Amino acid sequence: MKEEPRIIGFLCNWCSYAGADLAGISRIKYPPNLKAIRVMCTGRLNPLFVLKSFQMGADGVLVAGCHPGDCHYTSGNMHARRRMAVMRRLLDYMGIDKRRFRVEWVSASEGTKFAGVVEEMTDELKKLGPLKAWRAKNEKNE
Amino acid sequence: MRKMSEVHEIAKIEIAIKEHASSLLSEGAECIIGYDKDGPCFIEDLKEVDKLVWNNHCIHNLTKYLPDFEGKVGIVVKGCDSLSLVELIKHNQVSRDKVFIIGISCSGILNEKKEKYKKCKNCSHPSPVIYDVLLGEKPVPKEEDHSDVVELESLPHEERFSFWERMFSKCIKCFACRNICPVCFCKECLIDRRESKWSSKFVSTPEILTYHVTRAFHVADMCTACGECERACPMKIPVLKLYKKLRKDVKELFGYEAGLNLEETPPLISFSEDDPEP
Repeated sequence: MKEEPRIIGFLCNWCSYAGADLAGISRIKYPPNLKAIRVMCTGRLNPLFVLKSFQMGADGVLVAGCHPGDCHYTSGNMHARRRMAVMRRLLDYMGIDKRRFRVEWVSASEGTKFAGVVEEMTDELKKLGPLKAWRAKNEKNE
Repeated sequence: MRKMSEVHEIAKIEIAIKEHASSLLSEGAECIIGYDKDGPCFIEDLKEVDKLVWNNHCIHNLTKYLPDFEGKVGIVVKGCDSLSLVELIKHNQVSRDKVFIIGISCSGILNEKKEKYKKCKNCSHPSPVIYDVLLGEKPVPKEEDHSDVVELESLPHEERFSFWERMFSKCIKCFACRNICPVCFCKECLIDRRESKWSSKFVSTPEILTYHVTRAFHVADMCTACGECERACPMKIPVLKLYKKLRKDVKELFGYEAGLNLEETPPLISFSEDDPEP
């Protein structure tokens, strides 16, 4: 059987998680490849979460939060934007394709956008194939 | 061969260092951090001042030792080291009024083969950016060289990964690169926590890569490319190639260069409305 891409999604509680919820409530279809992890704010994300996700077997990582300027905590996503920009370029330099790590701004009313992002990402990851080289050797990944 | 005038210049600097060291010690400084014939040395006694030397082999970045001292300290600082010192002051590891900086304009340091170190060939800061006294004549700064980073960037992802895989397969996780880094000043390191899920004790490629990416990200807006990590590496891994990439990115994204002045806020603890999208 062909391996399905695994995407870890870090969704901010106030916008993107609600956006994902809306996608569900509105019965918009999108691939089941994304495992959502709710965080209170994208500013809470240590950029190393992204690295760790890849190491623990993710093929793609999505970080989604409020649009810049709309953060529930005023500036959490602004800080995240800078950190993720650096991390994304660093991982790309180390050989993890930029397309595997996306940062998107999805508000609570953008259920369609959320579904679209997940669909796009899943399609892309299917083309790119699994990211085996970065996986740590442990029983969970074997 | 070095020119006569250069030899003369070097001797003059050495005498000046000794003079400043003695006057500082007699004024009550706790210690003078400088170089003796074997490497870094710590002079606490006036009688030992004569041990201090300055020559073409003083490679060590002495600012690493500064945060360990509480009293007033005098320190010998080259152009490249001064950048790390700025970062240490900026991050409240060293207080400016407790350190007397003997700045030296340096024309490059030689390795065991009597060649200039790679980082010295394209030195962008031969003169210290911060000092109390400045010794030596000012050499002309060169443009910082990112050609090796650009070269690696131009390769496809698989080749980039296999390059790093090949390089880091030599890594024995001795953490020398972390221990010698002047801006790796955390008292307790994430990597050392025994029960931490961040780093495992495995020495396999993904774990090694994780360690290096972690460290690189932690020093992203502080690294001054002083090259000590690369020099300390017993396996001769070109780790500087990784850190230089971050310096390049931070400059491109936020227009910030670490170590240049005490006023600018480090980019990863601040933000602006019109930042580029990731």
